[in-house]
Amino acid sequence: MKFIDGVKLVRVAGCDFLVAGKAAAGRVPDVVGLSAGSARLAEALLRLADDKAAAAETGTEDEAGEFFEKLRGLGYLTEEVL
Amino acid sequence: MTAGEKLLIAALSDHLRGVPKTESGEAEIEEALEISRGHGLAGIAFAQLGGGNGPDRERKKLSAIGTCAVGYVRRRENYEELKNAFEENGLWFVPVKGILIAEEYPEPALRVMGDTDIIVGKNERKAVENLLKTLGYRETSRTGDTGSFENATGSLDVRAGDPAETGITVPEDASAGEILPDRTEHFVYLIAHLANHIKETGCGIRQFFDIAVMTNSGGIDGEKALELLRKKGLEDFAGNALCLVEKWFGTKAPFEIAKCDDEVISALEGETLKSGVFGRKNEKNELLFSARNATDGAGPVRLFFRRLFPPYRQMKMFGYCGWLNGRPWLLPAAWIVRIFRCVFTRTPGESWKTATEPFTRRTEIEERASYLKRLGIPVDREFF
Repeated sequence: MKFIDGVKLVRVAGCDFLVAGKAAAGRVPDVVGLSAGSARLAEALLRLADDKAAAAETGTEDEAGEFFEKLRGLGYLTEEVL
Repeated sequence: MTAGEKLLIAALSDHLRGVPKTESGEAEIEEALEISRGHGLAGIAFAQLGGGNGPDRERKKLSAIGTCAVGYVRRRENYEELKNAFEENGLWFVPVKGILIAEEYPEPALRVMGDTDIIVGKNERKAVENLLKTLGYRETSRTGDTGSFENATGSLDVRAGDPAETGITVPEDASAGEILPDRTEHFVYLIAHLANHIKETGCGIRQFFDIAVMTNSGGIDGEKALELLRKKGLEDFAGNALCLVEKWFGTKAPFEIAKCDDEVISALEGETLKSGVFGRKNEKNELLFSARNATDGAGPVRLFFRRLFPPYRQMKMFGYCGWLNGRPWLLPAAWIVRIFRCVFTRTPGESWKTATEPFTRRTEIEERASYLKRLGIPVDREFF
């Protein structure tokens, strides 16, 4: 599992967010705003939960690496994916 | 109306019509955003107007919308959990107000809400309360037939009532789980709820916007709505409220309104804009009991005695008199409890001040009663 259980990608009024649902509440930030590139990566991560390479294809490798690091720093990503 | 208020109304109207961005001048944008916070409309305002004039406007916008996103995800999760639990336990419930209306908003997540409101059968009340306990809810207060519950992630208002009281019809063979209300009955329920809010505390822009959203979506049987409103004595009030909704948001009422009284609409508009999300004015319900009675021509002496010994319909709404509901013969006992409460929780000066209000605040009481009467709100009736 790459994202902590209960984390959802939500689009509201054209803005993308990673939102911690009840299952993840208190363990990660409630909400993180995503840039357009990050949102694409997050979407790919959620859709292709076991395939890092496929997620990385959505952006450049550098972007993906930076994004994964950011998520890891926030506690959204488990170690196994990195 | 101030420039900021005008801009906020324009932003809401644009949002409803799918206009992605509302044009505004720098001067009024901050005021509009500030007002939107007080009315629980910050998400829509920030989405339509951006984050204001400051260098951190993008962050402010994301923060306002992100807060709505979290609230939405959590309340939908709570709601799904509730639905499943009711289904599994063979109980039904009817969702009303925000949890349903939000889904009709152009962006459901932007419709901020506090409590989820549901109606359950009067006979199932105990079973529902037991079920809620197993879901980690605890009762926080009770007013008449409505209990408020909360758990770690959400709060719930549960109304136990039969269709004759709530105006929401439930099929006799109702299956377990969620039962969506008839659209027209729900519309009337919203109008009655709005009237109740105005009567009790005041109301904010969002409650009118909810009605605009619902009428904009269509599917309301105008004739049936009018008939139901007539039965509740709310036909004139509905006309006034829908005139204001049309004035602000351009949405048409589902039935023909006899006459829009500009003076009344203007008074309602003024109070609503200044009231905040659920009303700030008259927040402590100070004049309600007197205003209820003042409209039937009662003088100060009669009002004074009604203050000392309120009628059953008022007493049963007091949180500490939940046991009175459905047992009017216990009214004298409730009066005794009330007197003891006054003796032990209030100073003699406070009690005397409250009891003598019909004399000392007569002008205010009459003004409030006259305002409610002009709006078409019968102050001595329950609407649901």
